[in-house]
Amino acid sequence: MPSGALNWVGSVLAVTAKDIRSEFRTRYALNAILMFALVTLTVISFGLGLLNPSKEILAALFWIILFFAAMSGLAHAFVREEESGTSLVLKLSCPGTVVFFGKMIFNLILLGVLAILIVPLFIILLKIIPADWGIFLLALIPGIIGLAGATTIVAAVVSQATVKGALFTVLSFPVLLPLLVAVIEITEVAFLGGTWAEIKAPLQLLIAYDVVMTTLSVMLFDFVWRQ
Amino acid sequence: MKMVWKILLFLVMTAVIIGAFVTASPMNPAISVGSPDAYRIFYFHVPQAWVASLSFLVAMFYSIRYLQTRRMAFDIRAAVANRLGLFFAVIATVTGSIFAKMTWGEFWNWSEIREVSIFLLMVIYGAYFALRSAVADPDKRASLSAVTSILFAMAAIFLIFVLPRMYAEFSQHPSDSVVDEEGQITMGRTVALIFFSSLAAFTALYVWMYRLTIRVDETGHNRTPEGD
Amino acid sequence: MNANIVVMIVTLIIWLGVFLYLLSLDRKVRKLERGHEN
Repeated sequence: MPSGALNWVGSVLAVTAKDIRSEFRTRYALNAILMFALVTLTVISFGLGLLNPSKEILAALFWIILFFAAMSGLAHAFVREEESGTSLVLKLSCPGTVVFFGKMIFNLILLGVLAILIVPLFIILLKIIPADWGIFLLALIPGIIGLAGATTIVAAVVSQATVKGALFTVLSFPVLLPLLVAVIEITEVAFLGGTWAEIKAPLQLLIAYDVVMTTLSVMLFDFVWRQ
Repeated sequence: MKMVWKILLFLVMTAVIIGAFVTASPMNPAISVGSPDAYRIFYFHVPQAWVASLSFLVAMFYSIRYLQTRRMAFDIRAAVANRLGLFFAVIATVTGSIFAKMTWGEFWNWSEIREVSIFLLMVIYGAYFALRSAVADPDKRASLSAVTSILFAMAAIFLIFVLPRMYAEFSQHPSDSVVDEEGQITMGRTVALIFFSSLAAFTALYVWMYRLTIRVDETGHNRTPEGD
Repeated sequence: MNANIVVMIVTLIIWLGVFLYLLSLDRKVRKLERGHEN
């Protein structure tokens, strides 16, 4: 039934829009993520100074910056609901999957903004231009989707706990590790300029990770959300 | 466990320890790196690593059961399995490090896939207990840690596919002491007897410790009124 | 050969300690469980 599906998409986007509106009031998550990324990037380029790091190392550094920047702000989508006491209203007004995808899209937008700002800065400050932009985007886009999907469920878990900030990173790291390994592998190829055959295996893994982790997160979300 | 089983476990493990040190080393001295005697640790190290992985699967199973039934008993089982898994993972890491020092000259080597794997296993166990200690309400703690456990297990499955490719060129684990180039098991009869007895003994020891810890936890729970 | 025997004896002592500890824990828990039924 198309109208039912349309309704569903509508309510997902309503949750996202609500989050974007409240984000614009405080700009907490966006500021945290962007400042964190900027600070790490500056520290890295200062630290490297005159050293000439290899392209493999730069590929790993790029994702380390993205990972830690994401860790500094992505938990906020759920933590805010708990802190302002609005989570109960949200629980009563819409089903779990709608909330999950609403929050995931919100996190995806945050990461998208982060990537748009950090990629040019990274290129300028660390003096590297991806040899193959197509391959680079194939690492970046599925990588960000996986990052958003897996961290959304972890954020939901963490928002129920007492020490939120540190726990978010601790729990996210083992979950995100396969993603990081695959994505760094593809980025290396993008920086060095390689063939498509080289990225076939990690790309398959990356896409499988995105699909499986997002599905699993949706399935598990109700257990976290409806206490 | 009945008394007979405990006595049997005691005798088998004692026999394994004696057998491991009085029989010839499992490593062929001609191709051995370092002293062939160092390879005797293989009789204990491999079963410990096996029990640590087994414990991870047990924890996984009871996490799913908890989410299906919401019975606190399953949460206790998952937590106990994780605790024992961490314990055996630490022991396996220590014995492995000693072996690495004796043969390859260093305690730790990041280019060795199995060392990385067991390190990650410990990180996962550590993250699990960090979460448990951060949630006060028992029901909330149970479902949150079950969900996290399942997420970790899925990530671990992905890592099984990712890591070997990364480390294809590097692995220096002494697999040739068990498996030769054609993938055939070349353990002699004595070595196989001691090894599989040790595997059985460690598994039995694990089952005993597991049941005992659950009973300790459950008697603790029964004192509080909301005990299951 | 001598070193092997020394390590064997140390391992046996550790194993005996672990075994006796588990045995005593088993006994204590049994006592506690009986206490609950009464």
